[in-house]
Amino acid sequence: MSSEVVQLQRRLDGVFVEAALLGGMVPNDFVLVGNEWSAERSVVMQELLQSTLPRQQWPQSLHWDWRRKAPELRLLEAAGFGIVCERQWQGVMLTKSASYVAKLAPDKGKPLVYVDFLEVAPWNWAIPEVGGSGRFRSVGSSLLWRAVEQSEEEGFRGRVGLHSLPQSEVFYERVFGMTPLNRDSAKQNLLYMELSADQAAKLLEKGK
Amino acid sequence: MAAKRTMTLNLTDAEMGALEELSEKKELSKTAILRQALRLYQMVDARIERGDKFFFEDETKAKAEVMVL
Amino acid sequence: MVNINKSRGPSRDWLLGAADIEDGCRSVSVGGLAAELGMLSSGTTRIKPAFGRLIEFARRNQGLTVEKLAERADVDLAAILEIETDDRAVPEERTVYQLAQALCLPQAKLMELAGLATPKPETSRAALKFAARSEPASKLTRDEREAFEEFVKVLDESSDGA
Repeated sequence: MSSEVVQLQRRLDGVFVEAALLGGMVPNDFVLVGNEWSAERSVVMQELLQSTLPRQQWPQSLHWDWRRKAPELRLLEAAGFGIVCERQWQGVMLTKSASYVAKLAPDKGKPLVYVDFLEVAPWNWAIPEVGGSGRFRSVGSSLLWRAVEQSEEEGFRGRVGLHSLPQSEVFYERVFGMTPLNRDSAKQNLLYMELSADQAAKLLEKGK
Repeated sequence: MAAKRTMTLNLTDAEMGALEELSEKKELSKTAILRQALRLYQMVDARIERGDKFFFEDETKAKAEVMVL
Repeated sequence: MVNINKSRGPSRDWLLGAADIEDGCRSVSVGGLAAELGMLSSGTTRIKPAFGRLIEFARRNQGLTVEKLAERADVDLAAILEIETDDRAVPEERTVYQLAQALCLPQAKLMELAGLATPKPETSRAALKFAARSEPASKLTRDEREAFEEFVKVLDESSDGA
């Protein structure tokens, strides 16, 4: 397991606190995450059911279960990353390094890091309609940044690919500079997006 | 990074050639190419064991199953 | 083995900009749409949840990770995860037998709970009660421990020492 220090902004007072971004998560870690987040998930679900917020605007990861993803970490190509702060998992990400190759020219066919799953803890979700403003901000951003770093470490020059949930498409394009490619019928018609080596270099420069 | 162990590989000229060609094409070191190959092999094997089937599809949409042990 | 690396993440300025947009999306996530990924089981009163919960509690009570239990019981890790998380999972007889040995639980009763044998009335009653009382969490709370011990007591008492 590897550990590096990252900064998370606490929404309450805007203060940046130190958190640990852990790599090399094992199956049992995903089980712990699933268990840790399940109670809050139920709470949010109840609140949403009682609210007038239309379903399309509900957090699209509401029904996920990280325990189901645990076996995937046994494969060499899989890597699990998580951010721990105040002794709780604030966000978790699962990447794959041999399942996908780049579709974007001029690097078509070259390997990339594929983000299979990424989620921030339910208590960090910003859903003002039900009073959920979220404890920590930019958890998702920090994790995705780590995926770009992983890609560099693998020799993939920062190339990253993912299928975006509809709510997040704008985020990947504007914050990371990812290029939307196609709606993938093999993946529930989600938009497949890629970060090229050039864009990755620009991103890492911008974020220094 | 986890502790690493060293292995020596004896490759034929053809194998080394293929390795170098892939290395250049994918812009990866030869070691990285072999790592990717191992990851890919393990992943495919795991899915086949699960009962999934591995196919190639050509431009005419004709599917041909890839037999991998 | 933990290597602590210096911080090399993005700058605060970048994070602030990213956070604003992240907020606009409610929260950023990657993965499939909910329907495909399996719903949370919402407190049903069927007996099946008790099996998975019992295995999980017995495991955690012994301070075992899922990997350690897989090793100790000589069963597939995926099988344990499926048992603990999927109420619809039907485990193999050998798996249940091995888990019974490894976790010191009455084997015949475990078969009943797993859906591999017809459950006796007292098993069903105790299972429903246990399922209603227990909720997944990372540590066994005192309540959970009480529920767990009570349940095991009933199973042991109504067993023929199998």
